[in-house]
Amino acid sequence: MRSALSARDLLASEALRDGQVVGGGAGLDATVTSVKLITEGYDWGDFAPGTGVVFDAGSERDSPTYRQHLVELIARRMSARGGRVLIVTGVGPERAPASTVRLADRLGLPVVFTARASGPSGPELTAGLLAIVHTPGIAIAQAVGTAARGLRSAGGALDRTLAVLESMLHARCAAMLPDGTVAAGQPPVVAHKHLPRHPVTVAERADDIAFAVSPVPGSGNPAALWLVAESSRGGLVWADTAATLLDMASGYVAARNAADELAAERDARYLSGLLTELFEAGDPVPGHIAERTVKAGWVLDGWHTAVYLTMPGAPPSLPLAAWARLTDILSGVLPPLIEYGDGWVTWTTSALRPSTAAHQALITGLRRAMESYRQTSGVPAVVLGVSDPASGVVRLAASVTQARQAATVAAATGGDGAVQPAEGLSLLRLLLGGYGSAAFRDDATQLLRPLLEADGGEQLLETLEAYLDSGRSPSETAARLGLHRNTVAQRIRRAERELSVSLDDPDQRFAVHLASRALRLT
Amino acid sequence: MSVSPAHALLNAGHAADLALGAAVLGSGGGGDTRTGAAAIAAALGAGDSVPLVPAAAVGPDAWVAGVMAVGATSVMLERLPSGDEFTAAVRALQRHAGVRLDAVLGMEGAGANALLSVLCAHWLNLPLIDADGMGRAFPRIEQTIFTAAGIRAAPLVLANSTADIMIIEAGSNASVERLARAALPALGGWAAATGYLMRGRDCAAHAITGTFSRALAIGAAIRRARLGGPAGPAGEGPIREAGGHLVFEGVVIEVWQRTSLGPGTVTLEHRGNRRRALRVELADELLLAIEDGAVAAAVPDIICALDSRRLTPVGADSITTGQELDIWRFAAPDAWYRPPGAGLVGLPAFGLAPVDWLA
Repeated sequence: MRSALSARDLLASEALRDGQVVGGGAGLDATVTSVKLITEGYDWGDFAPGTGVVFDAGSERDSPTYRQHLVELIARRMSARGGRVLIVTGVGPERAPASTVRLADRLGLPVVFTARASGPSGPELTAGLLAIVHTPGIAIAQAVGTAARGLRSAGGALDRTLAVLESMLHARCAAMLPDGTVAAGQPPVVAHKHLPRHPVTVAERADDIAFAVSPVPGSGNPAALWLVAESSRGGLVWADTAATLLDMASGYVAARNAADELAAERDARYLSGLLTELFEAGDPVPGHIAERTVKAGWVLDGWHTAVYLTMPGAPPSLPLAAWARLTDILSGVLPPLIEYGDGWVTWTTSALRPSTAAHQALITGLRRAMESYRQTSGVPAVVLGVSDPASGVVRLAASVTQARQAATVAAATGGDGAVQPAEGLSLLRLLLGGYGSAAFRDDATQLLRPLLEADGGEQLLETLEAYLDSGRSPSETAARLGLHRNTVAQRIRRAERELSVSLDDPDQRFAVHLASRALRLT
Repeated sequence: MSVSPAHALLNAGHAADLALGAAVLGSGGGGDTRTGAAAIAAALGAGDSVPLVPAAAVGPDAWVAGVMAVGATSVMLERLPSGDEFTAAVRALQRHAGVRLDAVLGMEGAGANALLSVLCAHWLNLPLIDADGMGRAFPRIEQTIFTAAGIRAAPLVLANSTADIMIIEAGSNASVERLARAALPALGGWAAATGYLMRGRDCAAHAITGTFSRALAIGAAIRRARLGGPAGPAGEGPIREAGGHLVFEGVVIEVWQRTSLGPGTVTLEHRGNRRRALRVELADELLLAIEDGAVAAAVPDIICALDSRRLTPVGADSITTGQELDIWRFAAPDAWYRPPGAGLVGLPAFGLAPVDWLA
């Protein structure tokens, strides 16, 4: 996938870091096949199309000869012979005369001014650029060699990895989430709205910017984390180099992420075990558990308001990027989350009972946080349940249960991003929440499947439901559905047959009734 | 008397044309000519005249020498020559060399020195030979065709208005230039100079002839062009007939001042086609004109900027952005285009790298 080398790629090289394109920018993408140092008296006979020219216009200290007037003459000659870029060295810090700028623009020949004081001499510059032109692979190999050391010592830490890439590529580098949110580094100039759906490395140019993007392996499909490098100076060869380095860096970042994930999982297991032990021990908390809770940073005295986070649908699992986003958003409102049951729990603590206003402020803060989480694209839905404030360890356990029930209700009824306070939730709502859950719905569907798959299944289910709702009264059912009493009896018998149940058995009857209710809720 | 009767007489009526033409031959340098024209008009106002004789009319054994002012013409214009400086210099040269001059010629028959040559002949009551050493303006004493011909500038006599006289004997004409330049601050910034003492036969063989006539012709052509009506193509004819080639009709869009590191650089945009641009490199004179990457004129070409409306020559040090200028090229005398003259006055003589390999 080696790309043709352009003047832009030369500009992106270390040797031309200080080079200024004074004119002729329209020609920057033309392919450069060779580089030639031109000195006074050069014979134009062997000048080949595709050649870039280096011309040293600097004055020698011992024989001050002015050479800048030759720039335009050379530009015209080389342009007529298919020359691609004119690099003028030794011209000091001044800008180019208007005539040079105009001629370069008119010819579409990029003219680059670079001060020799801060860079290599004409022959050195030419040698360096020749190496890039003839063997771009060598330049990439050199870059990779140098980058490997830097990336290894960065150890996959995002900020340090990006710093290494920035200095190697002379580029803006960032780590981005799929929706374009910058997770680390400098915000890119190109709107990377369309990061690839599939985790593949891309090297391209758009809007005069060369860029490369590389997915961080193991972050999901589509990838949840991307490394991006951009340069206004690079061409496609630069982008190829950048892609190579980003891929390397992605590997280090992925390794680091995996290690972090393992450590986090270990911590999570430990903490959720500790929480279970704490709740089982009750009040007073045994000394060895109390000691560990203190080390974990938990506050057990005072008034607690538990918050439970779960995901509608089972099993709950959050991709790393979503988890990072969520914990980032919630970090301003809540202490760290602890894995517990089918979700995560945490609690806020205050010495005195929180006022109604303070409790309401917590809920408002959580709603705002959920709102901004929901605006992150590509993250799965989550819901929060919030308990009433309660004091002491025993009441904390109860609060956690209450928050969990509220979250279950939120998952069943509120959907994505809902925040459900326990306050005012009736027992019925809690039960509704329970049997309205996705897991229960699945069981209900399973139970009723034979009926639903039978001929006229919908009709049978409707009749069965009305029959059970009416306390098993055929006449009331017939009246409600506008049917003959015998039709009802005949349908009920058929339903019992399809489901292989007997509605005379209280347990079986209750299960069928509950299942039909759960299905209705969807 | 070894000089034939004059073929022409210069009088006050010639002052304006001579000033215009001498400014053109100044190639943007050579100093202001209007003050000199006023001085000629005043000196010859009473019906006096200066004989202008062809070099060929000077007897082979006659003694002739070049005259000029060297140094800062701006200082000279602040304190105008009284004439005593020049007569003192010539007398000192005659005393030093033991000769008596039969005529004078210009060292630089362009710019202010063209007019000073006429005045000097008038003050010395000698004929002026229609010839000089440069055929245009150059900044250095040794940049004469005489140097190319092996004629020595020394002894060169410098005299100032306070009767200080310095006689330079030197091993080469370049040394004469170096020593004279070094002496100028002590002499007050400028001095009357006379040198290149030679016989009439050498003058006839080597001098650039017809320089004063040419200045008069160019001046008259510009005067006719001005009369031709508003500036524009209709007015160009007479200047073309006088040997001018119109290089560019532009407006100045950028001026880079000259620095110790290089010449000044001026960019003009064409008034008829904005895509065309002309780059002019200038030092004391306009040295090089490049249009769109091709050489349009280069020293020793005489490159002259004329204000497009009034057809007034604009000096290299007076070019500013926004001016509408017509850039004209006049051929320099042939001797400057071939060795050994070419080596004295090409771009390298002004510190600019040669362009022939890019032509």
